[in-house]
Amino acid sequence: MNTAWHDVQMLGAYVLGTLEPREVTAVDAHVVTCPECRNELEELRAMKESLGDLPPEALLDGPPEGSDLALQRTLRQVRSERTSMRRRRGLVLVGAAALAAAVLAGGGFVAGQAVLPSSEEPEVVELASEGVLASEENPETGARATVMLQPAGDAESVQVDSVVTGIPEGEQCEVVVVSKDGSSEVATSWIVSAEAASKASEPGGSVVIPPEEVASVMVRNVNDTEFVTVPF
Amino acid sequence: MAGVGSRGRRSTGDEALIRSLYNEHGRALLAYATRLTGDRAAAEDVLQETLIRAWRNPDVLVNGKGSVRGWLLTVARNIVTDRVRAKRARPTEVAETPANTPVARDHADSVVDMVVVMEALDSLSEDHRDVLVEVYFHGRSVGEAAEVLGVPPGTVKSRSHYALRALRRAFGGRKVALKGVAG
Repeated sequence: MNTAWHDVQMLGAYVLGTLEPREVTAVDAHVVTCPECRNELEELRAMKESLGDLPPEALLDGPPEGSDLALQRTLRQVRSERTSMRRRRGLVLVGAAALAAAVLAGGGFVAGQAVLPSSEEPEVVELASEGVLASEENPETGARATVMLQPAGDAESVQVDSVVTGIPEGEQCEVVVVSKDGSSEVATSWIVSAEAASKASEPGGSVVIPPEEVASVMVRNVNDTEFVTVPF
Repeated sequence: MAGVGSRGRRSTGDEALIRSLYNEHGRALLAYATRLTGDRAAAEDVLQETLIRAWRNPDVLVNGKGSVRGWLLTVARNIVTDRVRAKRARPTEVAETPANTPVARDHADSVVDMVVVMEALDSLSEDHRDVLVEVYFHGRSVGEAAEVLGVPPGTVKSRSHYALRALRRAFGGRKVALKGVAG
């Protein structure tokens, strides 16, 4: 056994191909007779193989050379996706009870991540479930409505759910869907109870107007007094 | 108004995240994607998409620099692979047969590879890492590496040995998070 040569430090260099030819010959001759070095060599070889999984570019540091157009485009995309993510969080508010809770919490911003549009920031919130949500307050009447529209059945109709506050007890009211061509349909009507007057009404119904044709949803009484209109 | 304030903070954080990823890893990602696609404009798209996926998976970014780099590179490669595949799947192309079916590479496997290797490399001492970079990745001879690193040739040899051994140690029992890569 060529113990005189036994220099394991050479094995890594051998595997990486950095030895002189005569050193390579010496290692070759040695490992034939030395199981310990043979094992070591095998493991180091396997290690080098796994380095091959990395592309050489993997070790470059810093920003790309040249223009930062890609950065600017990425930032723009983040800004726009963040906005739609924020809107999708409105999905939390599906269901009239959740709508009511949101409105009763004082309108605008509610606890958690659910963000409802406030009157300072008119906004139609798109829900992930193909619906839209919007809210409006009429400072003159004090009435406020949050309305959710969802396509119904054949998508020729729209389901209207709403939470309405600020309308006096005893008023006989209607939820009217106004389409872009100016026609309108009554989705539902109700009489505001004492409890609804102090808390909220939750009128809902459907009309035969395609969701994308809805221009606004109006809450009025049967004497044509308009309380609040939510634009879409 | 409270809502506006918190939105402003969130937006700053998002943009800072993208900027820091871009400044630290952008060069590696763009160079890699450029080689894979052979097209700088396409590579910039890949870079953009990669950064967006990282932003959507912020939990992968709490790991060390090496594994973040490995994750990003893997995502970039998967995006390129998926685009090539999508192109081939267009109906105008010839029908797929076993002979020309694009190789369905297992994303998860390759993720482990790049992330683990990057992580292990990152855990090496600077001396060891530098030697591996010069000798293995830049393909320099011992003499050239010795000159670049300013050490004697004998040191290059011994360090390359200990660097490989340190790498092997770093590999031992490593567990890697794979979340979000195939996103």
